[in-house]
Amino acid sequence: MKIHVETVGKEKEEQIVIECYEVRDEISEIISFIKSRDTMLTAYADSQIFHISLQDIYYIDTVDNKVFVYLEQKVYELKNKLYELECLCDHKCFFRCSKSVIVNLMKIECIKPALNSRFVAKLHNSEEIIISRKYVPDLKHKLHGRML
Amino acid sequence: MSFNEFLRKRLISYFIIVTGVTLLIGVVGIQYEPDRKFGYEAFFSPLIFGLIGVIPSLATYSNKELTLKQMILRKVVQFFVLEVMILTFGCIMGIMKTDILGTMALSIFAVFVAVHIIEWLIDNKRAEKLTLELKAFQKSQ
Repeated sequence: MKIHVETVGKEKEEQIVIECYEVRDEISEIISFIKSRDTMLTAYADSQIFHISLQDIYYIDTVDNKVFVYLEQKVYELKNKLYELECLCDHKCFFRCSKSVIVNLMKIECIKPALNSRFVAKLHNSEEIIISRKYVPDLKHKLHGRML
Repeated sequence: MSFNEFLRKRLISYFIIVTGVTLLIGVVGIQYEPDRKFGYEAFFSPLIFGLIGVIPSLATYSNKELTLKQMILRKVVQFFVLEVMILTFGCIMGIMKTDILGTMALSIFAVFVAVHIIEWLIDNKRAEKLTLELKAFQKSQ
């Protein structure tokens, strides 16, 4: 597959055009990846509205029916439901690691064992989140899926 | 955790306990009764003690995910039930004499700790493998 990159002036909108014979799995994967890079979430903090890129997210957590998104240092509230976010983040970099948490796999530094067959994911910002044992097979599947 | 998965993990624990009990019988035996002779039936005692040792771990089974506090509480219950079951069985069968019960209780504690350390090492190995796979995944992005 040929890759052609063309630089355009500021007056033009940036765009990605894919020319293919048919939309195969790998093309869908590329589209999904581009969309994920481009997806912004609307978040709230201190009565202000912010737009957050998916790739900046460390993890998303639900506390008392409220959804919070955690970046390296900051925390914002989201108005979306967790299952909606799970669909939105349904490309291979995000992973549902427990009933209430979705984590960005790109932000995990290492995985350590915890009690009761669970694992702890240590993130790049030194925070630690639990990977429930129920979701460990899904994690393996996700990691193997990408590497195949 | 499904009950099948729980049983699979207990089977691993069982074999670790059997190894620990065999080692324990050897060490305590050399210390207290070095001249004692055994028949072939003695080969079954680690297997029986292993079975008795694994039964109290049922206290830690839950189909829901337990919190750290709940897990520690259940582990404490498991340990005391284990001590009572093994010592009672040993006394009833005449395998353990009352003057070495203290040593036996300590030895059971040692095996209990050893089993948990080995299980943790197995989990640690799994975690290291997952981390390696994760790093490969991150590089592929």
